[in-house]
Formats: sequence, C-alpha cells, structure tokens
Amino acid sequence: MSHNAALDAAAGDGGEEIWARLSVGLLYILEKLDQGLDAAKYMELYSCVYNYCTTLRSPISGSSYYAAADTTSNVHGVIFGRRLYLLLNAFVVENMEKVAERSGSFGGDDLLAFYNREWVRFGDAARMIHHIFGYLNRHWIQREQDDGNSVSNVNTLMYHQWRDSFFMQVRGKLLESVFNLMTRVRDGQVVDLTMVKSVADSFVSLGSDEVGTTAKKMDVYNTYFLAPFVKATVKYYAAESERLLQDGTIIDYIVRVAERFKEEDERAELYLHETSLSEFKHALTMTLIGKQKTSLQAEFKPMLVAHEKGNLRRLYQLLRRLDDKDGLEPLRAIFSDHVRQAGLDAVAQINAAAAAPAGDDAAAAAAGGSGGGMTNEARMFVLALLSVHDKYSELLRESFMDDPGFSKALDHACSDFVNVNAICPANENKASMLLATYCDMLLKKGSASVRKAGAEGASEDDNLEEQLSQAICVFRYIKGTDVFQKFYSRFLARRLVFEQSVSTHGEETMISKLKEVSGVDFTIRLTRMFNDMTVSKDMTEEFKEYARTNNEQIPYDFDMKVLHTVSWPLSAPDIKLEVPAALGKMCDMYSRYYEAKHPKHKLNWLWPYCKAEIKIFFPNATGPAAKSGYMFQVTTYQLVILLLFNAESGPGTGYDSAAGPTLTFAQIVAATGLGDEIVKSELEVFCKARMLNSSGANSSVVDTKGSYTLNADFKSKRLRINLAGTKKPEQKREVKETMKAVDEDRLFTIQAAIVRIMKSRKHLGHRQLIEETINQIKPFQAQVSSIKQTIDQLIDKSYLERDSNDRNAYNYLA
Amino acid sequence: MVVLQSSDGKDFTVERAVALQSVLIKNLLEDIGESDEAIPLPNVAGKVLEKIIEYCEHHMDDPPPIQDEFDEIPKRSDDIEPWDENFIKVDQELLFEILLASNYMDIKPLLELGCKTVANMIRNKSAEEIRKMFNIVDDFTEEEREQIKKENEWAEDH
Repeated sequence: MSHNAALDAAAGDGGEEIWARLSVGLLYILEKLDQGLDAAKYMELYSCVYNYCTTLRSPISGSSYYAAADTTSNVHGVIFGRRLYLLLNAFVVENMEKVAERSGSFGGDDLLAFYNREWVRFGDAARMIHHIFGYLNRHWIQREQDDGNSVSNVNTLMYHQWRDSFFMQVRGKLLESVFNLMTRVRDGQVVDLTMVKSVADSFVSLGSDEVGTTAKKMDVYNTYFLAPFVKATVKYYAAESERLLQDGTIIDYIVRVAERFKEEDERAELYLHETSLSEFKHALTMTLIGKQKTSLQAEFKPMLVAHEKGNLRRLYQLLRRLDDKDGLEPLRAIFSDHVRQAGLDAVAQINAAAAAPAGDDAAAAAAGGSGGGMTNEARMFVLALLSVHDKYSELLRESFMDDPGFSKALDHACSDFVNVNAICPANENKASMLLATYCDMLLKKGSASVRKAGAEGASEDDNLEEQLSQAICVFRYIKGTDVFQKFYSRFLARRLVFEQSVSTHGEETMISKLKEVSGVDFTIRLTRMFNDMTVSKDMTEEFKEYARTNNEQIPYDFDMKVLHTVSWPLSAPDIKLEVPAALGKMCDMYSRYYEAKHPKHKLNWLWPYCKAEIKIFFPNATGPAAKSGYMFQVTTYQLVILLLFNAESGPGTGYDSAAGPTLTFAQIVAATGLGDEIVKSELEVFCKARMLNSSGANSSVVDTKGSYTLNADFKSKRLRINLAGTKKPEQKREVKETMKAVDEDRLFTIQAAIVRIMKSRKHLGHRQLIEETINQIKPFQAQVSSIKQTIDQLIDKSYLERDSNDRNAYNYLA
Repeated sequence: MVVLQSSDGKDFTVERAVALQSVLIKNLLEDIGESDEAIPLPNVAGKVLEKIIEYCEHHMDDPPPIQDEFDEIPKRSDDIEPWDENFIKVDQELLFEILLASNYMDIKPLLELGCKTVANMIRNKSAEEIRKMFNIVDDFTEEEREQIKKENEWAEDH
C-alpha cells in the first residue's frame, strides 16, 4: 500500500512535502487549466489531500487519545484537516492578490474583458479544486460544520477569497466601467452585453454562503451592484426625460418611452438577476412615468375620442407600470364615461331617425309592415347597442389587453346605457322588451331579412347562433330580466304553438345560453314548454292508435297540443264558442282519451291558438281549382264562420239564396257564439280576400246590419291561401298585458320577500325593511313606492302591524 | 468504457455506469473530460479494486439512494441484502481494505455496507472480546477507564 510508503517517507510528519506537491498542482489549475490536466495528475492531487488527512502521524498523537469533550473525532484528522485548510486559504489569498495586481493595468472595457476572462477561468478552477479537496470536504469540513463551527466548504472558501482579496479591491473601477458601457448602449452603440452579465453574475455568486437565506446571499449583489446600477440608470433617464419633454409633444414622449421600456426590459432580463428585476423596473418607471403621470393621463381622453388604438395601447402599457390606483384607475373612469356617452348617442341617433319624416320613411314602414314599427325599433336598438359594445370590446382587447379593470368599466357603462337611454325611459324596462322582440325576430320563421347573411360558407345555423350570442351579450346588461322573461316566454309560446320556430336547435341553443347567464330557475318554464310540445306529439300518435283500437273514425288529419297552464303564458278566451259538429266530435273524442289517461287533469280549449286547413270548392271555379278546390289556412274562428256557409249546414241558415249561401251578420254571431267584434274583424278578412260579398254598396265594408254571400265566382292565382297569418297580434295591447303581468308578479315577489324577512326578524324598522327587501330581490330593482304599497297591503291582511311604541317599525304577526 | 488502474499497476476496464458509482471518478470525468487513458488509483490495490468493481457492477442499475438531508432516517444495520451479505463475507484484512477504499473513492453505499458489517461484528460483545477480535492492545490508564465507565453508566443494563 502506498500510504505505508508515504508514512515511511515522512520526516517529521511529512506534511510539508505533500503540501509542496499539492500547491504546485493547485497553481497549475488556477493559471493553466486551459492547457488540460490528465487523470494521473488529478488523482495524484486528490490522493495528496487524502494522504495528508489520513496518514500523517502527529507528534502529539497518542499522548491523549481520549478527550472527554470529543468522543467522535479522530485527532489525526482534526489536526491535519485544519492545517490543510489553513494552508489552502493562505494559498488562495495569495493568488487572488496576484490577480488583483494584474488587473491594475486595465481600465474601461479592457477591465471588463479581463474580469470576465478571469471570472470564467476561476469558476472552472474553483470547481475542480473543490473536487480535489473532496476528502477534506467530506470529513474535516463536514464535521466542523456538524459541530456548528463556521467553516465553509472549499468552493465557498475560494469565492470568499475572490471577493475579499480581489473583487473588493477593483469593485469601484469595475462598476465605473459597467456604467460607462451602459451609457454607450443607451446612446445606441452596439456593445457586448455579456460582459455586464458576467460582472452581475459574479456579484451574485460572491454572496453565496452555505448557511443563510437567499436574501442574505443577495446582499453583495444588492449593495455593491444593484444599488449603484439603478442610481446610474435613474440619472441617465431623468436627463433624457427632461430633454424629450422640452423638445417634443407628449405623444412623441409616449412613443419614445415605450420603446425605451421595451429595450430596458429586454436588456434587464439579459444581465440582471431575476430577484432584482422588479426593483430596477420600478425605479425606471418612477423616473420616466411617475413624475410625468398627470400630463400622460391628460392625453387619454383625446386619444379615446380619436380612437387611436396604437397610442392608447402604448399609454396603457406605460401607465400599467404604476400603482394601479395612481396609474390606470383615473383612466378607467374616463373610459367608462366615454363608452356610456357613445352608447347614449347611438341610441339617440336611431330614435331621431325613426321620428324624422324622412324620404325613406315609407320604405321603413314597408319593411316593418303593419305594427312592424316595434320590431324594426327592436332591431335598430339592439344593433346600435351591439355596435357600441363591439367597438369598445375590441378596444379593450387590442389596446387594454383585456385588463380586468377596464373590462369592468366597460360593463358598467354598457349596463348604464343599455337600460336607460333616448328610447328607454328609466324604470320602464323597455330594453328588456325590445331585446325579447329582437330574439323573437331571430327565431321566428318568415323574418329572414332580420337574420343577416353571415360570412360566406357559414351555415345558416352558424349565423343564427352568432346572432343569438350577440343577443345574449346584450342580455347580460339588461336590468329587469323578469320583464325579458315574460316577453320571451310569450313569444316562444307563440312560436311553438303556431309552429313558427325557424329551428328547434336554435330555440334550444338560446335557452341553454339564457340558462348559462341566469340559471335554471330563469329558464325552467321555457324548458317545460318544450317538454309539453314533445309529449303532445307522442300523445297525438297514441291518440290515433287509441281511435283505431276503439274503431272510431278520424275523418281528418288532427294534431293536438296539451299545454300545462302554469308553464304557458296563454289563457282561454271568455267567449263560449259554438263548436261545429265536425270539430266537436274530434274534440270530444280526444277529451275522452286524455281524461282516461289523466283523470285529474281538466282540458280547456285555447281556440284562438288553433289553426286549420280547409278545402273550399267554389261553384263557378274553373281549371285545377274546379277539380281540387282551394286550400285555405284559417284560424279556428275563421273556420267556424266558413263552416256556416257549407252546404251541410242545411236549411234555415240562408243557404237557399239564389246568389249562393247567404247569412246575415246577426245569424253569424248567433250561430258561432263569437262576439260582434270578432265576427266583424273576421268578415273583414273574408271580404278583403273576396271570398264573401257584402250586401252593402261597398262589398268589402263590413256592416253589422248587412248580409254576406259566398262569392261563387272566387278566383285566385294560387291554390293555397293563408288567411290565418293576415292578422297580426295587437302589439300594443300585448305589451300592456305583459307589463301588467310583470307588475303583478313583482308585487308578489316583493310581498314574499317582506314576509320572509319579517318572519325571521319579527321586528324591524321601516328603513331597514326597505333596504333588506331591495337587497333580497334579484331580477329587478324593487321600487320603494311598490314596497311601501305592499307593506300597507300586508298590514291590511294582518301579516304585519305597526309597532304601537314606534311608528317607524313593524312587527310580524304569526 | 473507463479504465481504472490499481496501485500495483493492474488495469480494469469497466462500463461507465459502473465507474460513476464512485463520486471521485464521476467528478474527475466531469472536470477533465472523458479519455482513453487509465485512471490511476494509487491508494487501492488490485485485489481490493477487483472486489469493489464486483460490487459496483452488481449495483449499477440501482435507483439513486433516498436523500437524507437532515439525517432523520435512523440508521440500521440489520437491513443488509442477501447478495451484499454474501459479498462482504471476506477476511478481516480485506474487509478493512474495502472500507478504506470505498471511503477514498467516495462510494457511499459500499462504505455503509462495510460499517454495518463491522457494527454487526461487535454487537453484543464485551470490550475484552472486541479487543481480542480486532487484536487491539488495551492502553487505557486506570483513570481513563473509570471515566469511561462513569460516562456510559446510562447505557448499562437496558
């Protein structure tokens, strides 16, 4: 074994000889490592360290092998380990001083280059020497550290000496060179920035301690590099900022500073330590933006008015660097006001256009048709809202990076101008109604002109879906969604009952979108309406099967819809209709079938919501009409009247007139049970269509005293004629009715809320009760007057009483 | 492949993964780069190196040991794998040579195996028996002996 040889060779303790060999190797590693080192030399140096620690015999060993305070360490190791450590330390110090001396002849970029070169070389050498001293690290140093003594490992020792014996001597000159170089970079020269990085990196590494937190590690870097670096940067840019503001406009300043930030951010990433980026950026921000904040913010409004997306984006990105409250918050308020005004202006514009008796008034009226005024208004209104919303959403996206604060400001503005504007007075929820009308137009058959043509290649479904999404976008801003719901369910009911939906898929899409925004409660009735439709379809089939098995004849095609009263906003008319035998037979048959199936349900017939198709053979018809007759699509009321003119209706009905079947107005009213008003309006339809001739001078004017004869000479180019659709529902009355229903519902909601609150509180002051009621009610803003009214009602009904001691408080009466 | 050379000049060619189990070799290869030249191990004799290589070859696919940074996992000496137990059944002189070499070459698992084996050898034995086993001369003075006894009283009779 070689250690025996080493022992034998040692005179005294042999340490000097081993260290002599070791130090020659270390010097080589520090200075000539780039020439390479072979494995044999490496192993020799490693073994020197090993042998120094393990095989030297101490002159004091044996005299006191056992020491009470130290039962674990081996005394050989302790003594020689420390000695070797001290030798190494002295050696490194000496060498670092030599490097410091060599650096003396350099300055400026040359010094940076020198430092850079030495730093890289030292890094390699330190790592290798650390490994060569592996045995010392593992044993003596490890044990000292375990005992809590402050001894650093070899790698750290080397960096400490680099710092203390070299770096601290040249620090000032080094930083001066860095600042000098940075000034040139900022003035536009192309310079090798990696030199800055290696200086910065070395500051970071030099803080490294085995013990201690990251913060402590960064001390050297923060104190000796970052602080002066930031100071120099601030000085440079304070001067530049002053110059720029003197020479150019604020816009120029914004453009220039935006570029500056981009450059500095990129460079900072390149050479600064990640922990210091925010401090550096903050200092830069305060220098270039913080001081100029007010003048910068003043530019926002003009940019917004001119819609300068690019400048707005630059300004946003600059001010974003400031504290949110100082930088962007004032802009958000301006943005919100601006959008609100834009929305109000857009609506005012269409309102003015509608009011003006301009040349294209006729065209507008024609497009809208009778009663089309509102649908047209709805369309213009919704499109105006969308155009403003889309314009500023785009700005939000492109210039404000979807900033949540700006997004909120936009939403705020939108919900303001959507609900109250030139068309929609406050507290009337007209916007809800117009939006529901617009949705009806989108989803109803025969209003294709409203549905816009989408992009080429996009299917009709896609276009519809996109437009529905836009409608939902407006819906999100609507206050008083209960009004929307009422109107929407009315329109939906009509679309479903009259089978006017443009597509089931479209209807379902819309409902699921509404559900997404407002929850299941909001759409549950709408969904139930769909259910009824599906169930009815199945039941019609089942009914036909039922008729077959009971040997009952179904003389004509027959389709029945059973609607649950609670889910549908439809009500049976007051009129007692005299149901014609042909129709009555089928209705009775269906009632028998249905009541057998659901004994507890009662069927009411919603005559106004039924449709029929009948074929009429006019006596003098020619051509195909003579052979196959005319097919008319009619309402129930129309059907009932027309059936009176049928041959089968028999004598006594005026059928025996020479001119053809003739009936007086009174006869028709009596035979149908329909009131004068309905009979009159239906007869108008028939006369206008020239199916009936009036006895009056003008055959198309309906007179309650006249009589009506079937026009035997009826002619039409078309064999299918639709009479059912010619009468539009009376919109004004419908709006009034719906609003009335909404008001009733609202009072009921308020009542329920008050009772709920009082039931749990028992006793509450007037003001608190009103506040809590308003807070509890979600879909609409409860009016104080309505709440007061409801409280009075509840007192009348003895749910509440005024407190006998305090007139401003109420008690709950169980 | 890596060539390792023992103090008595014997070359051992082993797979890289085998050699890398020695942290010393691993650092060396990282520091000076790979080459064909033999790596001399002036403190390890051929018959010891052969034994160490046998160990490293067997364990070359072992997962890296669990880091026990805070020394929390209690050390045990009764968890020696059968292969290792068989491997370390060598005469006392070779056992100590392996211990020294694994320390020198920085092969932690092997060093631990050796230490555990020695620990098992002295378990349940009196100081006298241990002196006999390892051929140690008792050079304590009477005074020192008394002090040891006093300090270790707490460990008696448990």
